[in-house]
Amino acid sequence: MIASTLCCGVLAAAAETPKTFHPEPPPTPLAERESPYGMTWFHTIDDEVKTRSMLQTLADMGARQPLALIYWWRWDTKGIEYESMGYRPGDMDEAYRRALDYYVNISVELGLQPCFRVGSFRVFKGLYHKADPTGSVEPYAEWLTMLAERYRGKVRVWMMGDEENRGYPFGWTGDPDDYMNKFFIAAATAVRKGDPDALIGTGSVSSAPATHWLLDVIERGLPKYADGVSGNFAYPVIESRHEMEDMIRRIRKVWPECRFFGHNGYAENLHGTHDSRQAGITAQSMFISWDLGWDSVAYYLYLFSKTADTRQNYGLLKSFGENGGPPEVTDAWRAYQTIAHTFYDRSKLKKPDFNISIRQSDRLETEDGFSFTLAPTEAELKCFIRADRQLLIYLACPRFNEPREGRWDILVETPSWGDPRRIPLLNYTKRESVSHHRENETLVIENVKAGLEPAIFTLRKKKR
Amino acid sequence: MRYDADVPDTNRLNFRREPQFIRTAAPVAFESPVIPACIALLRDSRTRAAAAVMMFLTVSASADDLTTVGSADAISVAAAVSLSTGQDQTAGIVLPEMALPAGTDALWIRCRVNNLDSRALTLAAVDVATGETVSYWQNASPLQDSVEISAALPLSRPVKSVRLFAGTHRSASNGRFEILNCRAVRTGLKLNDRIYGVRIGPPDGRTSRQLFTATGKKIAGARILIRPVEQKEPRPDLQVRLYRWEDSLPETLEGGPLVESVIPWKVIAVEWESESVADNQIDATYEGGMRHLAIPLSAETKPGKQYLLELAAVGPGAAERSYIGYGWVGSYPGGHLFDGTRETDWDLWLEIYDEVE
Repeated sequence: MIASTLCCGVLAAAAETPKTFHPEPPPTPLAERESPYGMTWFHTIDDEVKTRSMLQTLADMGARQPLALIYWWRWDTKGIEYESMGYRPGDMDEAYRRALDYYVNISVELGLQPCFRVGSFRVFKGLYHKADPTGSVEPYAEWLTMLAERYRGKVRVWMMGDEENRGYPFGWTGDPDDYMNKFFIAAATAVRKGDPDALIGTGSVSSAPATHWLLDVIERGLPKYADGVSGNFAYPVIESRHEMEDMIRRIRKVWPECRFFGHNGYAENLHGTHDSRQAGITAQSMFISWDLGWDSVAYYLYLFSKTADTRQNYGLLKSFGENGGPPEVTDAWRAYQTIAHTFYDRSKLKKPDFNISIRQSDRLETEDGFSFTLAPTEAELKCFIRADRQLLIYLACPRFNEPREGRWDILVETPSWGDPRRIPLLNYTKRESVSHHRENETLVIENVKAGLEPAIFTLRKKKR
Repeated sequence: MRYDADVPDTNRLNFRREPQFIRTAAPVAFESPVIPACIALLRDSRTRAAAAVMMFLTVSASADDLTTVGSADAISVAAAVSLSTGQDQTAGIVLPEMALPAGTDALWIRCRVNNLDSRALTLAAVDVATGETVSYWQNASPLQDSVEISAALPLSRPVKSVRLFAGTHRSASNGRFEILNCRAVRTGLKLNDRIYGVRIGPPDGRTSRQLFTATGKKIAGARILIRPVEQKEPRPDLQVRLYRWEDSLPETLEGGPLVESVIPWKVIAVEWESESVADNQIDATYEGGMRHLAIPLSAETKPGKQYLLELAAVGPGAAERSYIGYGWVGSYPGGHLFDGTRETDWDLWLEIYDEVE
């Protein structure tokens, strides 16, 4: 009986040729994609060619929502001294205005959806502009309206501030009432006045998800002025995920339409171009953010550099080819690219209506005849169907600091799908053949290795 | 692959003695027939390539030893195993079947290890009924010197009986280990928020203390998330004490601890590869190096009563180096975190494991 079943399975598999299956559906062009993937980009540049080169690398990577940090006092310095802050004349005033125009207009031209994170009163210790000692939000709001009108229909998301839920020594306590009344309502109203269709989010909260603080500002009327909330999600929180899921659950309970924005990721580069740890964490962070339903998720951050506080380098790109050469990208850049170009159009994907499961495949046997398997128990399996023609399977172990790795068979319990191919994490365009067979009608993808680095497969639907 | 035993004449590839259970005078919940050829050889049944494991088992525990671990139910199998494997090889021992008492949702394992690189020791609980792994643990940090460690192995689903694999799973290993004790436990408390760090140690000698409500009659251990702030020597050890709560913090501390464990710094050490991280002293929780740390704490508790778990940096380096624990504002009704002596509305990332009754 077993031999007969096996024989039928082998014959069934042998009968399947590439022509047995529909072709994979063509990818949705980037400009038409529902894609949350983004990238924090600090340095808008007053150089059209360099801006285009850099934005092109983002488009190549599938980061459709670049997120620039925007400051009023750079737009119009009003004569303040800024060189001691590390800025040069070429970064300010007219040059800054041109740089923002390049950033927005070239992004749109490339099919990207530029986003803004606007500053608040943090830089100048309670003032919106060093040249305005009143600390009033009104002049700042007027500038925001002008900016929103200037880029109307082009900027997708406006995040209002960053980490204002924290206290600061200049007397800011992070109080939700103060955030709403002294900053957010005026600023968000100003942006909406200038661009009624732009999406508006809170400042990206510190200690994300900071669920209690977000619920507090929601209670104080946030949904009237905003479309969502934002957070800075470090990878340990993404790894655990339960805080994010808890936040989503609690917020959706009181605000079902709430969208989620923010900076997610932060995987330190320790080994230059080839850092498999950074690649694995980046891939999983972006996938998990997408899978949880983030609307705009900017990885933090793009170019190699070191943070001021922890002196860590989270960068994915060594250089963007500004001197005529090709961009120098890391494995994490490629891993991000594979996730972004594989998992998108979330609302159009369907869950399979047949079972897909895993079974541990690292089988061992003791001398006393005890047969067993060894594998981590935290494996995560996710499956999606695109356009009724492509079945995507994702398998990983979401453990970042204490990585695990194992081997599993993936069981696809349907006769209707087959021709499994692996999409290598560092090359999303490749389709690698994999060992597989059928056990009756179940397709078995054999001995799949997954861990910090996810294993990704694409299957095709059988023609009738 | 090469095998070294703890005793001379190490080149022999056979068992020197059969593994045995140590029985206690009390009813033996884990009692199981001794399996003469416990494990000498593991084979990858897919390739049939021999993945040899040569081992030597000694029975070094005694009934007195069991008294010290304090469990009438416990079994104790002492196995001294040395491995010499290359990359992608699997080698180890599999202990005899252990029937798990009802309510068991984790195993608590004590072992002595040395010469271990990161991930060079794997402990896995295997469901006897299906042969599948239901819990999987690897050492996250290198453990080069001889040291005793504990590991909490939460089970992914309820099972009636398990066999414990101990060895290396597809990882190069020249490690040596002895399984000192394996016991059935259940999760009594699980607080899993990890948003923010709480400093343990200098600059102001802060001690972190989590008040919690006991759920069992005997605590077996606790698990926390922790990382060192920096790697410079000398480094402090982590002292963990459990107190019975006496209405106030001073009164509680005055009463003295019920039990204390000191975890050597080398168990918590992190292989940081970045100079920048090792050099800075930022409490940022988004730095790498976060580890689950299992802390043995054997003490009688009363369900419903409050206890205090205290974490402090001690020994050489305690004046200069600190640790970061993890936690965040919680809604746990059974207690809260003291950051030093200051009451907070936080809770530590904390799991408490109770002996199974």
